[in-house]
Amino acid sequence: MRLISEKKPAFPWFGMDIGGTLVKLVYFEPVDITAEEEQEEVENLKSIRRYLTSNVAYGKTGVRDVHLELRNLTMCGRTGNLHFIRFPTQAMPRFIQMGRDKNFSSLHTTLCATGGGAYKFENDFRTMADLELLKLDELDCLIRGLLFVDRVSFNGHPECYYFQNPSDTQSCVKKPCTLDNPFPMLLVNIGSGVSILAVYSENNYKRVTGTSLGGGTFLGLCCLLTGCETFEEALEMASKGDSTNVDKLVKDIYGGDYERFGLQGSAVASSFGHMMSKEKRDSISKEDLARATLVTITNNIGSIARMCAVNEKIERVVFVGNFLRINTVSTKLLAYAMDFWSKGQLRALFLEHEGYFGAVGALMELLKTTEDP
Amino acid sequence: MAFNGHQREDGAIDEDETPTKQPRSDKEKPGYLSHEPSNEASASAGRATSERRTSNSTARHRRDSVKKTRPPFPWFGMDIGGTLVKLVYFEPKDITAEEEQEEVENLKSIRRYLTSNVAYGKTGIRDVHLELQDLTLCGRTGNLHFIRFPTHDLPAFLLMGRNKHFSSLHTTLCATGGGAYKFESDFRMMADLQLHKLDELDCLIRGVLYIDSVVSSGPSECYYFENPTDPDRCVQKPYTLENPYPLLLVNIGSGVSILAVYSENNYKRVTGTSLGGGTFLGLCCLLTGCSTFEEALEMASQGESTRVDKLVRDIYGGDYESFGNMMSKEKRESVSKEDLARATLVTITNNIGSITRMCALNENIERVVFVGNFLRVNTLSMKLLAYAMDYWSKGQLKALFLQHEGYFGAVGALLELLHPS
Repeated sequence: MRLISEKKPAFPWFGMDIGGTLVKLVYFEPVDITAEEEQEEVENLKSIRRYLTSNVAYGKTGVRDVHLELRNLTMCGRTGNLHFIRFPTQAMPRFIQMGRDKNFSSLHTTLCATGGGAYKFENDFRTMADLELLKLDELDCLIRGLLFVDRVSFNGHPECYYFQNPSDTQSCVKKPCTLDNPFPMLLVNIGSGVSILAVYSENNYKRVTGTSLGGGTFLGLCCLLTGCETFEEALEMASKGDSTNVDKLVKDIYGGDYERFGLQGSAVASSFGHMMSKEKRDSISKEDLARATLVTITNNIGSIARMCAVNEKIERVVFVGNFLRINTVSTKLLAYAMDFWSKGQLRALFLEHEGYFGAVGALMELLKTTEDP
Repeated sequence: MAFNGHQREDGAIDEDETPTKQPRSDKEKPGYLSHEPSNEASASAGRATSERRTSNSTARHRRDSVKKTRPPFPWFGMDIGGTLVKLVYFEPKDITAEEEQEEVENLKSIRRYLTSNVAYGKTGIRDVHLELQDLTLCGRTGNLHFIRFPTHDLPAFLLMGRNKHFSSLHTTLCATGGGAYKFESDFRMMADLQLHKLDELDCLIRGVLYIDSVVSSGPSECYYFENPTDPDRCVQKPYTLENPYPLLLVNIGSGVSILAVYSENNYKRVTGTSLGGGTFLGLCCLLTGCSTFEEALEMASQGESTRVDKLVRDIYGGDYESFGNMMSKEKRESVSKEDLARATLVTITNNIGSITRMCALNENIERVVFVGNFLRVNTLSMKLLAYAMDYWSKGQLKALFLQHEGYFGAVGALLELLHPS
């Protein structure tokens, strides 16, 4: 009979990150359940496990990112698979309702949650589903989660990657790397908004700054300008557009480069700068607008990140957050910007599990242990 | 954006301008320049008579005229920006009867045209409230006029220059801004005018320092806001830029440049952002259907950005995020054009404020001066910037503003005409 340590929390094991736009949920599915344990399991725990692991979509908007699943992970002495699920924060009431319907509260587990929604929805969880949230700081969770996933690696493959030759569209190639000796690092979390952290060690970091022009801005502006409704639509449009019809470039003002300060003619001098002209407005497409919005937001973040890196004297800049999900345009732009403007001094790094680190960190807080290697 | 510790070559201070505070030695009396003859008559003679010369020697004559003698009238400085052309014109008021007799007709006509109108064509405007009167420049006394028109209408301006035979006046046209490069050949071909091209940031700094030193009556050139977020107590207060260094200069035009200025001749461009006045206007035109800066500001003044943005309390936890509510269809349908205009203004302004603050912190500079035509008639942005600097730095940083906002580049160009470096 296996001794169940009193320190191990009861199943199910969840970590939640309730952001401004998306809820990120990580769920640990144990695969080492003994026959005995299975017999003792309560019905709703089984049902939750079955529901989550046998579906890849939940309701209309819930999605399980199967390609991100971490298999045969050992956490807190148990072996299992870690699943990554997301749904829009707007659908939170439905989620809480489901929790109530499945009698989640009778399981007496602690629900560790981070992100602003942990505060905003705290009452709703209590009143609608009789669930008490353990609220955690999102930046603590972010760092903890990131370091954990990098350590355990992505099913044997590196979690971290960068782009070689980002300034050369022909030879630009994705390359893996590890975050060995990760400190100090500049961590740029691009969610609805942006937070920039200087991380000196696992427990020593500071929030350097933030910007309100984040993923939420991109999507909100895109919806307004093009009539699109989802992030995927917006990205699809952006991939087809040409932002140079919308933005005023240095060469539009100078007739060429602004040599004195090293600004190439192709650099953007004024984002959306052509749009004050009616003829130009009439001649551009929705795709051009979507592209310009993406490029503007991305370059602004890149510019601010670079300034922070220079100030904090940090050479590695790690970009995370769901703004970069399926967003190769932005990822490459950021890689290019860091490399180009710093003349190769700075390197942009990316992580496969993008926006899930907060949720992973919340799960780890629940387990309050380091995983077995 | 690499470090550019630019040094200007001349250390000469513009000495023969309207006196500021100290007593002057002989060398500093009006009329004295390092290389010029101290002779009033020869200077005016050089102005009035204009011999026909070959194009090579005409060019040489123009260069020489700039270096060695007071340049002939008219005296202009031009700054051709991405959106607006800024023109400063010096109107002499001390013309003697003799001088007037010798004046060529088109020079008189230009002077009359500029000074008796406040609007030119459909889009040209003279900012009368910014006129500097009784200024002494290069030994002459007169008024300095501030004129602007959209860069889009430059062809019409060039045509006018041709029709008024500006080129026959053989004056040098000192011009800065990107357009001095972009339109150089247009000036030559359409109006037979040779531009003397100058760097916009050199001119900007030169112009700022000059104007602040000569404005001695009327409202102070430099000011700040006390209690920027309290509508009942918010008030404009004068500020002197004596001992101005080091200074962070934020120029908000179509785009934004941020300069750290350590002395008159020592500055560097720290960084810039492409989210500037052009972005505000462009986005506003797209989102609200407005077509001018003034319309956009009018709408913004009536709107409320909070319906559009996600406030910190809305998400809590994350950051305040711009336009975030607009992902939701119902929310999109419930906001007005005014709200959108407001949100755009606030977003652009706060982004500039945020970047500025980071620069000030890095460069260890406490005084930030905001210039550029984005701030023209835009008290909302000025107050937002004032508030942001003060609040986020816990009172360490001070946001300063200048009355002549977007004209400093043009002033600097004029100064280069009169006192070449």
